[in-house]
Amino acid sequence: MSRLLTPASIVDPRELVELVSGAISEIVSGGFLIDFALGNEEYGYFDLVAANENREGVLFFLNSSGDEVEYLRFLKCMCWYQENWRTVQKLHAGRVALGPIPTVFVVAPRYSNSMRKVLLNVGGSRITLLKYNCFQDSNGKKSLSIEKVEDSSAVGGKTGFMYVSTTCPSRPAADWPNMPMAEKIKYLREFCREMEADISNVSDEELLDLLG
Amino acid sequence: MGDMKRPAKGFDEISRVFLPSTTPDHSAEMVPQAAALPSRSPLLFPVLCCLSPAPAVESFFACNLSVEIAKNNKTVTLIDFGFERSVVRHLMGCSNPISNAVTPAGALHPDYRLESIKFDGLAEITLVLPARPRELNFPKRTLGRILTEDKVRKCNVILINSPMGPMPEIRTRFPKAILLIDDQIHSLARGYSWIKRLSSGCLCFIIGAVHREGEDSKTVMRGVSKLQNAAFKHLPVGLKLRVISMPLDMEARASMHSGKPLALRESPALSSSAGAIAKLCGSLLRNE
Repeated sequence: MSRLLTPASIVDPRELVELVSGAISEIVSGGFLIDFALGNEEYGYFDLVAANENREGVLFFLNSSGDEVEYLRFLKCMCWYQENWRTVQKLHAGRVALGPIPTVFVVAPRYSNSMRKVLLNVGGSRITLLKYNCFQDSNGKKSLSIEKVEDSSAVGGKTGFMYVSTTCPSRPAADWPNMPMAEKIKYLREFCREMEADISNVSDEELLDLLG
Repeated sequence: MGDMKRPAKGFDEISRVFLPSTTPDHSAEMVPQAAALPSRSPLLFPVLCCLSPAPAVESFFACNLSVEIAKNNKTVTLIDFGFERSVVRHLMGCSNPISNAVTPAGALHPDYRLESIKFDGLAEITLVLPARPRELNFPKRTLGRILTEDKVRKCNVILINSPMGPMPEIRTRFPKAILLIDDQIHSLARGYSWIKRLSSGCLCFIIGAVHREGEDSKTVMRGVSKLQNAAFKHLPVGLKLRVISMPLDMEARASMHSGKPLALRESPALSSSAGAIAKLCGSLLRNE
């Protein structure tokens, strides 16, 4: 069976919630999921509440589209949390410790330079930015590759990364074995572009020989 | 063969390729004065990784290959363009990126930094890392400047690890290039693309066929076979493609997590990954 991974997009934000919630222990060392949707209608919600191995709270804000306007919602969530953290702490007493400055993981497909700097300065070092790429295999199983995005303007701030792979049932994928060759080539070129790999010097004829 | 040129490995030729560039790089760096060239020339190899998405693997092989070279009493420089994804320092067992940085006296280098890494009983490893993030564009002439660094000039082998995309300067010619690929079709396509791009100056490619230990390596070998056929059909005559099976075993995984190079672990002899890296190293150093 082909193990080809093709790039996939996440249209439904719930899909990203499902994928990330299944990978909490990989993203947060020794971590586990506590709850979904922390917040309220007016201010918006953190998508996931987790705990690390020391049972300290970790909040997840998921931005599946990467749209910057979503971060207004994030700022409102932060405001809501800071005003209500004592109540929230009581709510989760015994399960997870939550402090006034929460540890937050933001997950998005991309960050502009300016937005990265803004986000990393919202709450200082307690905010971690994670960039995801979504792939699906020939069975339509989706997986995420997640990288830690650091403030590259900071000295030595370029070494962090993480890679997690998660799977969950997904929409039916393209049937790779039965796909016409021209379609396969199109897929392949698109995939490489997503991966920032330049194969523009490879002709269709050459790709046909590689695929054949 | 026609216009095919012999691969160049001499330092002066490498310098000639890089230094005449007139492209302004907006860098405040001083261009080093032309110094006397060393009597011997370092061998210069790119390690081109076509494995994605698996960001740790690419640096794993470059890092361990450099340690293996050092084990063979050869000084080595690893120029790592991993940028945000670079895990080489972690794999070398270093924690703080800046603490051991060495800036050579009399030179100002805003674009890269040099580090000296020493393991007991091994030749010196010099690690060169970009000092600026990827999006700030690594200036075009900087690789040329790195190659004129005294420390780099005097080493036996230079490895360039560029997992993030194009090499900063692709015009150079290499005696050999190392390509790491796996069983996925995009990996083959990237590998083929690299061979095509470099084939005007490099005729010898070592293909590391990477697979997980316990997984059937036949799939990746079938892919390599297709790649070889396509290369021999479409690319210049005279290409040599050597294939080395590169299993990723438990020892390799433990090494990645522990930040201790595979060759320095207690039982490297038991690791098939370590064996493959040693074979690759032998092939480079013998210049077969």
